[in-house]
Amino acid sequence: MTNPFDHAPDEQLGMLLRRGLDAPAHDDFVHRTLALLATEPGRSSWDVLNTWLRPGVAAAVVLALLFSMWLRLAPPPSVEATLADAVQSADVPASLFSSAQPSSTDNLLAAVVEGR
Amino acid sequence: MRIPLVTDAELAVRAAQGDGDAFGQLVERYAPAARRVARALLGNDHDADDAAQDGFLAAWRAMNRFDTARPFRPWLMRIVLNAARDLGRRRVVRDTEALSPAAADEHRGPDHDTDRALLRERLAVALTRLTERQRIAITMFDAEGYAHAEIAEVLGVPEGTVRSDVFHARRALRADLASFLEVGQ
Repeated sequence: MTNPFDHAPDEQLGMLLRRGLDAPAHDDFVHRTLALLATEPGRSSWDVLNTWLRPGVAAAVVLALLFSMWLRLAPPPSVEATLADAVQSADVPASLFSSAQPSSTDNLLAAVVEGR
Repeated sequence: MRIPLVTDAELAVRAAQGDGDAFGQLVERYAPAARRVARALLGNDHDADDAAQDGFLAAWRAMNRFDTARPFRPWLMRIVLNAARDLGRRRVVRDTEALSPAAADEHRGPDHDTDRALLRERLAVALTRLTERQRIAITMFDAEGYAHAEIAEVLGVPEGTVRSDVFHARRALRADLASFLEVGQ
């Protein structure tokens, strides 16, 4: 059994309603309405920017959250790896680090300057 | 069904960014439906046009708050209906006169001999016998092709209420407009 409320549009009644409710002079109405809208003060660029404000702020918050999560999840580099990177990039002789005794400041500076 | 070259969504996005031409196209597209629904609610062309115009103006002012992810036409129609209700409250005395069955017989226009004029009068009388919600529901469903869910959103009532309103309004209108329906068959 079909539900009496589960109906499709009644084409015949719909046509009668449109005929009975249709107002004349569609073009005149549209012209009048557009003329009225034209008298409205134009929306400033601030209004337009305002339409982007909320989604823009939301997107910035999401990006900041994702960035902070990425920072937390990424493992911090080890001291050895950092030191090795610095040595490689500065062309510092590895001999400075292989010695059992710590190098003097003069030796260290000399090695860096010579490396350039 | 004719599919417009530019969709409502595209025009609404442009209008929300302040494009008056895009909003003008939406006005052109929805003016007939807005005027018919307003007339179903208010009962006369003059007030219906004022309400539809107020509705379009209010929609233009609110375009920057329109959620472009949602469909445009239920949003617009809700604004037009609110404008029509506001106007109806302001002109309650005039509405009563315009909508009364006696007045419909007394105030025949110059084209009262035509079938269409007679239909308009009979329909105006028949609509007064429905509740405001039934008038809106039947017009939007049968005349404008809105879905139950869209009408429910516009009216702020459950979908089942709209289905019930359409059912009862249709039964009443079919009885009141029987002679026109028989001619049309």
